[in-house]
Amino acid sequence: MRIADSGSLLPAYNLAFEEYICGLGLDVFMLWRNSPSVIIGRFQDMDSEVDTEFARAHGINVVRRNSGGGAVYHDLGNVNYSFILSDDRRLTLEHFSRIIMDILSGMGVKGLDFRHNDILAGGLKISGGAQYHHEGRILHHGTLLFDSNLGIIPQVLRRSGKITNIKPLLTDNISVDDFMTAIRGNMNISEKLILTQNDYDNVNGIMRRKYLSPEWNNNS
Amino acid sequence: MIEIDEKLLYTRSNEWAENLDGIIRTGIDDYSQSSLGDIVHIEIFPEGSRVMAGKPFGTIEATKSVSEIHSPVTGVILHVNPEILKSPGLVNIDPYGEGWLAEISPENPAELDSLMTSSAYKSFIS
Repeated sequence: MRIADSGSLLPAYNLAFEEYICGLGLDVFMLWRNSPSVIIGRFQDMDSEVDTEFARAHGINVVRRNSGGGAVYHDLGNVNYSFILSDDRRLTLEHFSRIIMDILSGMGVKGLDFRHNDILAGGLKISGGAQYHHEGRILHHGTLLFDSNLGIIPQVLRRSGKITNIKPLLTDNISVDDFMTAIRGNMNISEKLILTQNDYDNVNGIMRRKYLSPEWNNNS
Repeated sequence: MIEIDEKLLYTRSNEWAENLDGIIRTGIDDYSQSSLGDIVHIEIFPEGSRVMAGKPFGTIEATKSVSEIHSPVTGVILHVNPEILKSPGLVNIDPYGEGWLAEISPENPAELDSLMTSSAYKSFIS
């Protein structure tokens, strides 16, 4: 497995990056963050899920992803992880969530539980995952609410559950960068994914054609 | 216990195919529906669309997961099952019967020879 870094905080770019990597046929793990944004599920109705006026007024981008599930709020306090692998029906949501739970447990998070396809700590959601199966590849990605602005979530999402941040649950008081470094260290992947300018051009092309297009994002 | 219908043929991507007097009916198999979980949304290419063997002709959304459905043969979609668009859960309940997805007019029926028999499929998924 290789470890990848999109080098971007733009949600449309990061989703295009994931999609492009998915098509390369390589096994990849990546951590990434988005600037304030709402990422909605593949078949969700945007207006039913997101207060789009609030989002616009607060500079929150709304972008549709390939995978299923519900709308989630991202900001720089939220860390996203992605596994991109050869597809296998045994690679369930729980399979990947357990990998993340083991890492969090090692960092001192207590009361971890996997319920309704989410990772909970002390009964509150700290992570949600979703999957996309495409031409023999599986993309599993998930959120990790590390130090996110929880107060804004019920304002921008029309539906939100009981959630909490991971940062206060850790043994040590660490930054989001430290948190990402610790996860990468636990994954113990030494090989980096090296991309060419042509690869980056292709990612930009997917971003422009798809993730920045109103047709895709509005599902129209 | 995964149910495998012995009269059907199967793809490596977990779809089944049935030859109904030269028209190929297809859907996803019991293994696939059970591992996907509750199916909440299905989109199939419109009737009249040309599809390619092994290439997607629609998508299925189940518990937080979106999967492509691949055509067992190259041809043209004649019918999409209207019931599964209204009630996607039918695929969970009866994947080989009421939960069929589409009927395809094949361009080359010999493509069916490359699909797996039920016994080969049983070994494939075990």
